Amino acid sequence: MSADDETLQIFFSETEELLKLAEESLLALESTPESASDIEQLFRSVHTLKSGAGMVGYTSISDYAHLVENLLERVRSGKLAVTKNLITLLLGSIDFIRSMVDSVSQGEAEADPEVLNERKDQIKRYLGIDGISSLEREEPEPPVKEAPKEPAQEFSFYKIDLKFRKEFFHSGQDPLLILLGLSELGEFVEVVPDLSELPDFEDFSMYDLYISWQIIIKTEMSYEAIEDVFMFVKDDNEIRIEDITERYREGIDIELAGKKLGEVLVEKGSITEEVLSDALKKQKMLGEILVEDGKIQPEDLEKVVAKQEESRAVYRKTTLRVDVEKIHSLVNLAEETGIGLSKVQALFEKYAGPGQMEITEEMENLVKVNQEFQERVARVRMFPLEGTFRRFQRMARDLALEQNKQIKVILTGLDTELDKEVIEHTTDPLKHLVRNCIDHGLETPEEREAKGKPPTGIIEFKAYQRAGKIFVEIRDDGKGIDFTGIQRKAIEKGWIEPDQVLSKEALLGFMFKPGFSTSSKVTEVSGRGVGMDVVKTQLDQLGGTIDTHTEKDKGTTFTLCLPLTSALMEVLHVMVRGISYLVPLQSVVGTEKFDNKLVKSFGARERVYPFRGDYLPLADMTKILDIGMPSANGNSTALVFIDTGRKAFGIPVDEVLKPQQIIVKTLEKNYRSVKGLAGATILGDGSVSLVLDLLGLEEIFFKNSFEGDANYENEEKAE
Amino acid sequence: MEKHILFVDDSPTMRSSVSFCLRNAGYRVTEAVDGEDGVEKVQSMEEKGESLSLIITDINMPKMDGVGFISKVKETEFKFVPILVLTTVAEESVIKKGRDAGASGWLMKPFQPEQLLWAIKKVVWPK
Ligand SMILES: [Mg+2]
Repeated sequence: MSADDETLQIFFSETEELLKLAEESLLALESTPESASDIEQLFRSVHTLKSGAGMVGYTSISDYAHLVENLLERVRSGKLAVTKNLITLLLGSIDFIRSMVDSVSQGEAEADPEVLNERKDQIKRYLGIDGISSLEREEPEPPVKEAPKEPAQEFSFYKIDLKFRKEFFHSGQDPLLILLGLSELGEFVEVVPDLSELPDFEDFSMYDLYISWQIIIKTEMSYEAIEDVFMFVKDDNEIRIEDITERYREGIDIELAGKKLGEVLVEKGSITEEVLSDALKKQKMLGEILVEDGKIQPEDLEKVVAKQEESRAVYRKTTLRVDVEKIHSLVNLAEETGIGLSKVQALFEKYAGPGQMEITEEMENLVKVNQEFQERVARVRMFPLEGTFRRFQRMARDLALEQNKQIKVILTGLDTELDKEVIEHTTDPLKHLVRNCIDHGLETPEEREAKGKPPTGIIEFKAYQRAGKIFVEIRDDGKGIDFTGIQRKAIEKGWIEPDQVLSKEALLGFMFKPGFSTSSKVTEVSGRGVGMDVVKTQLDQLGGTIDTHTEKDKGTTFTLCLPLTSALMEVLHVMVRGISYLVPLQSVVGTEKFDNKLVKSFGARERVYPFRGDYLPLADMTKILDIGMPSANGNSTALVFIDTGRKAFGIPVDEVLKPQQIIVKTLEKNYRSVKGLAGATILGDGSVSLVLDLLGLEEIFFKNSFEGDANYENEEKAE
Repeated sequence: MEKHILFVDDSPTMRSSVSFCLRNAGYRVTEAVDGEDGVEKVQSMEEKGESLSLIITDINMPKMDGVGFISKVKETEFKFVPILVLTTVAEESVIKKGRDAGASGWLMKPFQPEQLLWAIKKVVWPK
């Protein structure tokens, strides 16, 4: 270290002090050889002296003191006894160090090299073979290196997986600094953050780290230089650095490198897509056959499948990344064109002028062509469900294993394609359904055998397309849904009266209600404090439905019906105070003429209205958009009844118009996000209409009353 | 604003040479002579509402050693401040102790100014 004059002066006076302390300790040890405090003081003096000498650049003093320190370490750890001889040797060492310090303070060399070596050998002899070999082991290459400046010959590509501890920040570390350090070594070709560990907002701690990264860097630097970036963090975090230069060679498109042989063969025209997909199917079967024959361990096969899936995920990302937004707008435009065309078509149906036949015919053709156009465009954004299914296959296996249950997972319809967005929103519902199957449906091997069933249970994932919808089935051959259990729970929750007789459908409905779960374990496993209600909520948002079929000891089948794309929505068109609203049709349970006399009030502001034997609260639309109109329903002529799955309520409206199919544009892009409104759309007459977000509305109006409808009945009786 | 570093070491030579280097590099340095002194300095900074960008501490010190000092720092509002520990080759096992206590990195004595600045760069944002 650069020794300025002041530091040197300090070094000399400190050394004098340290040598004096060392001498004192040695003399004390002569009479009390076991005194730990004297040994400690002696050790620290020499230790401190060594470091100081090193810092000001007196390496001979530092090296020699280091040897003495080693000898003292052996004394300190009890490996070497304090004898008269040793004390004599050490006093000599202290004198020798003092003589070296004196020399340098007068501007002379530290010591004659020969004398120095002699002195060193003397200490080494005392350290013995053991001591010397441990000494040599303790002198590795300097642990702090400067980043190697010599570039490697060519560019290399490294794939770096960074998974830091959750408590990373608690060590005063910052992942971004590490990324910054890494970025100085080359060019990031790809950075993929993994956000999957991010918890829900209420469980989120700003002092914890949830994100991990995968980075591909192009650099001239060596592997060691990359490794150096992680020097302080590599021991207690998961850092993987892989040289992938072979896969990412210069001059070759990265996307191409991610592609598999089959894809390349198809591109080159060597084989057709049909041949490839047939071959791939055989490949899958091969894996299963090999497992069945015991030729390969299922774990090994799974590893390969997982790898394949990983590479596919990367491939998808790279091909989609460029233009997914453009595809979104294409899909929307195609759909809009379709809707426009059907409107024109409807107009022409009323038209009775010349050429009416030809026009109608041409229109029909045009509509057909457009339908195909829409479908093709939508396909661009679609992916096979295979990846999702594979993930759940693994999850099902892991969960079953944890609970000592045996399952066989069957996957069918892997090629069935679904809109990327729909797939993403279906993942959570599927997760809960799979958990439900394993936790509650599937029996243990013993239970199964007692029922005369094979010990291994079956879970089947099946996907298929029918009538413009995608169906996803999850079927198990377990014990079926326990209706008496649901009934008991519903009574406990106060949702029904103890003597109430309900249909199986009604009972199944409770399963998807918030707050319901037949065992507390569900919430633990799902880890989110929610149960099956998530399934329904998510599906509602997507415009999907779920159908449950169950039979005692035969098993349960959940059938999800999903839209091909997420943008189309069936809505009911209503008017409130001259404003046009669209209500998602799947949540509408009925409409009725509004009779002001039937409204009952209780509490400060709450008003309820009878509907099918219940009293449902009313949501006044004029309250959410501050339009300055009186909020009384003087003009309301009709009521639209809504059931979001969590809550049922009525919306007073002035007019109920026709149901329609629309494309939703989210408001956020054009305007700030508004709670209670999902988006807006332009109607056939060119006017703008607002699409209601029913879950949001429900929160606005009924934030504090999630106890369920039964309360209203009770209040009613109490009145 | 100048970044503030607290440097804790019982050796006057170390304090002088390291502070010299840090000040040359544009840092403001507060020195402490051992763990106990370090804790006092940290507490007074806390009271005065001063900022602190980094702590560098020796491990082998009388009164309170570096590991004890780090665990005290973790009880203050400076618990997320990066900490570099100074150690020597002979004390390699100390690195683990320091890390378990919550240190961010380490540096082997003796070192060159560039090595010191290189280690700082790993845990402190550039100015
Ligand atoms: Mg020290």
